[in-house]
Formats: sequence, structure tokens, C-alpha cells
Amino acid sequence: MAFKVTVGQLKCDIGDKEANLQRIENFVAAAGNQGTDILVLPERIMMGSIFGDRAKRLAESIPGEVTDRLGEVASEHSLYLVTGMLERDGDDFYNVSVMHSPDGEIVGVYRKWHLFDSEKKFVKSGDQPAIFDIEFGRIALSICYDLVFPEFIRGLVLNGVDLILNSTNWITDDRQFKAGWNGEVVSRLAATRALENGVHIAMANRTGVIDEDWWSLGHSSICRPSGSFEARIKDGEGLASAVLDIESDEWEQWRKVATYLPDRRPEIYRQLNQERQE
Amino acid sequence: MDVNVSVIQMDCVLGDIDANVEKIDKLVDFASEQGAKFIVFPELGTTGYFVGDMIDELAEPIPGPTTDRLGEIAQGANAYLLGGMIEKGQDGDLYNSLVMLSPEGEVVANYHKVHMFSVEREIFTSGDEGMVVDTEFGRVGLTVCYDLVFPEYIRGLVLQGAQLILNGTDWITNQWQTKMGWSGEVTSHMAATRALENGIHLAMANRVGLEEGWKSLGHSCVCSPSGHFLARIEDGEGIVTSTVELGSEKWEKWREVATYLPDRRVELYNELLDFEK
Repeated sequence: MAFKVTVGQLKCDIGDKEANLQRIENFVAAAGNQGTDILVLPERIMMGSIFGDRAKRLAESIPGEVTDRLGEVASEHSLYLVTGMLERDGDDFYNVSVMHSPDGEIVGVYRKWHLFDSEKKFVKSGDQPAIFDIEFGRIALSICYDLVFPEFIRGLVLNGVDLILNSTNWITDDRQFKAGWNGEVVSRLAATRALENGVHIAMANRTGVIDEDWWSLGHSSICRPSGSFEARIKDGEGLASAVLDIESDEWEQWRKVATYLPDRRPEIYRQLNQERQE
Repeated sequence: MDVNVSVIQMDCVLGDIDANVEKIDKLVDFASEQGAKFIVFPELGTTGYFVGDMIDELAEPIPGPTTDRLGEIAQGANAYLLGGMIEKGQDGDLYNSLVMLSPEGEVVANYHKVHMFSVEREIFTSGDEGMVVDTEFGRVGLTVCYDLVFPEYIRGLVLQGAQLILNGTDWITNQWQTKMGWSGEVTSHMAATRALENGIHLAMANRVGLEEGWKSLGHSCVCSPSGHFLARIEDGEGIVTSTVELGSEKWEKWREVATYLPDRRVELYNELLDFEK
């Protein structure tokens, strides 16, 4: 079944939840007007990537006030909405993406598995995959750094996932930028995950300056099983959409030619992973 | 250690080993002038890919006449020379091999491609082990073409200590695959991503030209641990060279920030996702 997936590339007002919610509502409305069925928004879009006590004060209970508002706007525009935010669960905090249905219900919450750098001191890592069957196929949620790990995405695909959704905030500073880390690199990463697994991937990144040192890399992308881009925004705020038909004859035919999954040789990988020689 | 790596992007004269080795010789000369210590030419570069019925007369033992000549070329260039050829094994089987000649002209490694694509498996016997080789510049991992599609495999070579992955390839396309989005950009993006996700350097030497209606995709490249292209040719024959800084402080620092290998959650991949199935 064909459906329209859209990635939203947004700025974020650091610490200003109301401003961010209003911006999100505008983006959802714009995506809804374009006939979007699934809208993916970036990582921690309610407050930005702030840490420590300030972040903890702003974290969301799920369900809670913020997810209620997101549910309303998802149902108003009749789309699946995936939004990244910081969750508070008792004394624990998680970097999550929340998926709402077109009826405004929470389909599921994914707690990020792979924590980067100082995140580890501040949030707990999740340990459950978030795989959901919806009318368009089997989808999985992932957040930012998860995409660096081919084993993780492969594992989701081995569990039947057809479409990977990634809410992210890839960032850089001068030093990393000079070393070659940029938006092109992250969109190629997304495209390669799609290619090596024969699935579609939609990655929504943030844009804009975070502080005097750091900025977000943009390059939100929708990638095909052939490793090419179906849609991509480079810089700036905006929406990029693609009509996907993940079980179409065309892609079935593709997977009959690009027989990557059946051609794997796990017994050799196991050997290489275990027998370290020095 | 800083070391120059060159990738040769070439067309082949189908079935004409002399013509192809002569071309490799000339391109190696140029790489040598650029100070290359590792020079990679494409998969089955000595014969071309779609050799059909000629395969029995083109297949050679390793070492053999062609590796003798490649050894002389490597010695002349004072560099490691790696590239693809059709091997007739002692068992009589045919292998899609990547041979590695030392600066002294000796065969120091002979890698049998592990991942067979499509009808290759009816022609060649697949290798069944990954190969890493220690050199004075660092530890290199040898791969051929389709091997690069499998992140688990490259990860394994890196876990075995490979600092530089070398790939001789012949990525090809037809009209339909091109329409579906498969391109030289895609293959070079994959190469860059393998470098990024493992925090290592990678050099991929691809073919150009047309054989049997299939177009080779070019886009040979040298990639940094940050997923960046240090050197890349798009189309046409040629050679590009880049210095790679194996084990340098610069990239050690990068890996202290990009802590991808230690941040893996191997037990969860296995327990919850049956990753190894």
C-alpha cells in the first residue's frame, strides 16, 4: 500500500517548550495539508539537547500534557506522528521517541539504546526494541546515534522491519567539521543502512545553531533500498516527503537481485568477532 | 604511521592479461611517483569480469606467471600492490582472488572472496575466512567488491585489528538498476560509511567501462575514519592518492570522541534481536 512519509527538519528554541510545541504544530499542519501519513520529527525537539537539572525539570511524563497535545494535533491532521523528547519516569530519565496514531493514541515509546558521550551520565539507556505493525508495514523507531551501529539496524530488519524511522540531532563543532564530519556524512550513513538491509529509512534531523560552538547538521533524508535518496533537505527548516510503497513489485524485484540478507555468512562473522589475534 | 595509498580506476581489455598488466604497470608508475606504498587495482583487473568460456585458459596458479609480473611491478614501485585475478587453485577450483605483492615482489597474501554475488557462485569457490595482513605501516584487511555490502564482515576484520581496509571491486549496473537508484555515488557512500562506523581508513578501487551491457560504476575512493572522502575519482580511468595516517594522534583523538566500537551493545543485539541468526 502506498503512503506518504515526511521528515520535518526544524530549529529548536533551547529550553522553551511552548515555542517548540507551536512550531511542531505548524509543521504537523503543513505536513497534514500535503497528505502525509507518517511524519517524523527530530530528537529531543521539546527543549533541545540540554542536560542536567534544567533538563530534568523540563522532562515529560508519558502520557502527559505534551503527549496529549501531540495526540490532538496528530488526530486533527490524521497522521502518525513520531516526536523525540526527554521522558521522566519516576527518578529515571530516557531519551525517547513517541509515536502517535492518526487517532491521537500513543502507539509506542522507544527509549534510545545507544547513548552518546555525556548522555550516559544523565539518562538511562533503553533495552527494548520498538517495532510496530501498522497498515503500511512493519516499522521500527530509532534515535540518532543508533544509526551508527549496523548490528542494531540489521537486528531490527531480521525481525521483519520494512521501514526504519530515525529522530536525530546530529551535531558538529569546528574541530569535528574540519575532520570531515558533516551533514553529507550522516545522510550517506542513513542511505547505506537502507542499502545494506534492503529497506526504507526516514531520518529527521534538526537544523540551526545550538550555541557558540555547536550546530545541527540538517540533511534529513528519506532513503531507498538501493541506497539512493528519495527525498532530502540539506540546510534550513522544512519538510521533505516521499510516497513509498514498501511492498511494491518493484522493490520485491530489487530484493531478488540485491540478495544481501540471504547472502550473509554469519558463521564467518562469528569467527571474526570471537577469535581476536594479536 | 603516515602512508600514501593509491587506488587505480581502470577499464580492462576482456581476456587480454598482457594488455591489462601493461596498463596496471603504467598506472603503478604514476602512483609510485606520488610515493604510494599501497596500490590497489580492481577486482579481476588482470582479465576483466565477464570472461565466459575463456575462464579456463585465463585462470592461473598463485604464485604463477601473472603474479611474477605483478611482483616485478611492485618491486619497481617499492610498494605493496594488490589487485584481483582469476586463480586456479591447487585443488583445481577457481577463485575470485585478491593477491598482495610485497615491495620485494613476493606474494604475501592471497585472499579468496568470501561473499559471492549472483552467478559467481556457479563459477568460483568462495573463500571461507577473513584476511588481515601485518605490514610495517599497519594491519590491513583484504576484501573484494560485494564483501563491502556486509557490515558484519568489515566489523569482524576491524575487530581483528585491521586499520586500513583495501577493496578491489567491479561494481556494475544496468538500465533497470540505475533507474532504481543504484549508482557510483551509492557505492562510494557505502565505502565511506564502512570507514565511519568502524573508525578506520578504507580504499576502494573500482572498474570503469562496459562489458556485456553492464556498466562499471567508477567512484574509486580513499575514505577517512570520519566518513569523509580523502580522494575520489568519479568517472574515467585514472588514479588518486591520499596520505592516510594510521594510528596517528589525530585519529586516535577522533576515536576518543567517536567511541563507536566500545558503545556497541553486543549482548542486546544477540538477546533481543537474534542478530546472529
